[in-house]
Amino acid sequence: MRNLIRLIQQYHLIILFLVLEFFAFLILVTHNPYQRSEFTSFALSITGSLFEKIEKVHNYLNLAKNNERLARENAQLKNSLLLSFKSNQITYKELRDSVLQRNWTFIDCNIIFNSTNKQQNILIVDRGTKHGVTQEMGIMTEKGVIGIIQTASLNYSNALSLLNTQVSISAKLKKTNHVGILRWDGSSTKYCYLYDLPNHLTINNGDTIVTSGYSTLFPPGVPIGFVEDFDSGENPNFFRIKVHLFEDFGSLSTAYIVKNHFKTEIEKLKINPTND
Amino acid sequence: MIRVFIKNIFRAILLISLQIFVLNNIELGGFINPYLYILIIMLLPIETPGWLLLMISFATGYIIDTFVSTPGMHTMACVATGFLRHHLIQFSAPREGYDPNTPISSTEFGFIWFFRYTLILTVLHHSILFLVESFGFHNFFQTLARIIFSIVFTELLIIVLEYFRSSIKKENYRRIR
Repeated sequence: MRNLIRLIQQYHLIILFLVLEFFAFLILVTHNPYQRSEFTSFALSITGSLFEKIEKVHNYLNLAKNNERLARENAQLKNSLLLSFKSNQITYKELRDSVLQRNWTFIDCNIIFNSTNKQQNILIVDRGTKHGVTQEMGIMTEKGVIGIIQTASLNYSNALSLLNTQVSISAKLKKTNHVGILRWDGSSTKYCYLYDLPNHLTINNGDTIVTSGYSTLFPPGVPIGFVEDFDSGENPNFFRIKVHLFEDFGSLSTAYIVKNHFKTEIEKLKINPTND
Repeated sequence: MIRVFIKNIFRAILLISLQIFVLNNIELGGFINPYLYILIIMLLPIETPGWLLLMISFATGYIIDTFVSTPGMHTMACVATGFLRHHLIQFSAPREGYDPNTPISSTEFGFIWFFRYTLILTVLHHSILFLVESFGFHNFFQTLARIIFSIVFTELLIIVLEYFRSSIKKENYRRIR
């Protein structure tokens, strides 16, 4: 302590000088706009470079965390690429017309799951209720019928394939317009069987089978297959026609979901007579 | 003692008013700004203690600053000048020390000594003042030119004033004789 006092006594003039200069400088930089701005910018450049160095060290120490953050951001960016999006765009136009009223709408879809090796085969498509898909809608390709929508979620739908023993479709012989019921027997993926066609008809191999239009699922005339073979089957009064399907169920990729705008109306009419 | 005090106060008032009312209005080409008021610090008695010297320097600079509305600039230059003056006086002291009550003048210490003493202090004061005014080293040569021209002019004024002072003193001597 005594040394300190002696030191102050020895250097009191320098200390006083520095204090006075400090006050003068304080007055200078607080009261002169030019000097103040110069001084603050100078101080800022010093503190700025200092903070930059600190930040560099800080960055280095946080390298792992930053890497993680960048990886997360990368993933986010990749997710925002078009590739990782499923397009919700639907290529149809709705016409409002009093003469022609829209009956059918075709919703394009991609088949993202398809099984052919079971008795009850199913399809999954990337369209759902968001795109107007509901249950009990038909699915077809340009070659022919492939299934019926069973359940629809928001973005996806589950469909019963035509290769499903539970499915039966109303179909007709294109040549004579006689209607029967098409079912799969659960054996070969190439063939379905058309039942309930009366045996007085003259049928040739190669005759085209199309949808009847009696059901609300498909418009009339959608191709299904051609006659491969026919026999009388269990019931002697009716043919059992072996239908060779146009569509190769092993290589399905895109399809159309068929929407019937009058479905509910027709269904109502179908139910009403039984109530009488 | 009181005479010395009054004499210095009177000199200070005279020099400050001369500085404010006359010399500050002289602007020769924007380069020459004589600051004669530093004679207040230069001509303080030799016995003035260091702390008082610094305080007086501070006060002088602050007064000039308030009149010229450049707060801090003259204060900084003056405090530095006072500090240097203290060390300069101590450095150039004769071995047996100064005689008490010797005024700082060319008649007492010789013209060369006086010239050197005032020039060193003027150089320091003006350098600090103009550098603080430009606050940085941009336009350095312009600042340097202003410093040099102003030093020359201030020093010229100091010597002219000293000449009058010494001549008055000599006449007084003669009268007394």
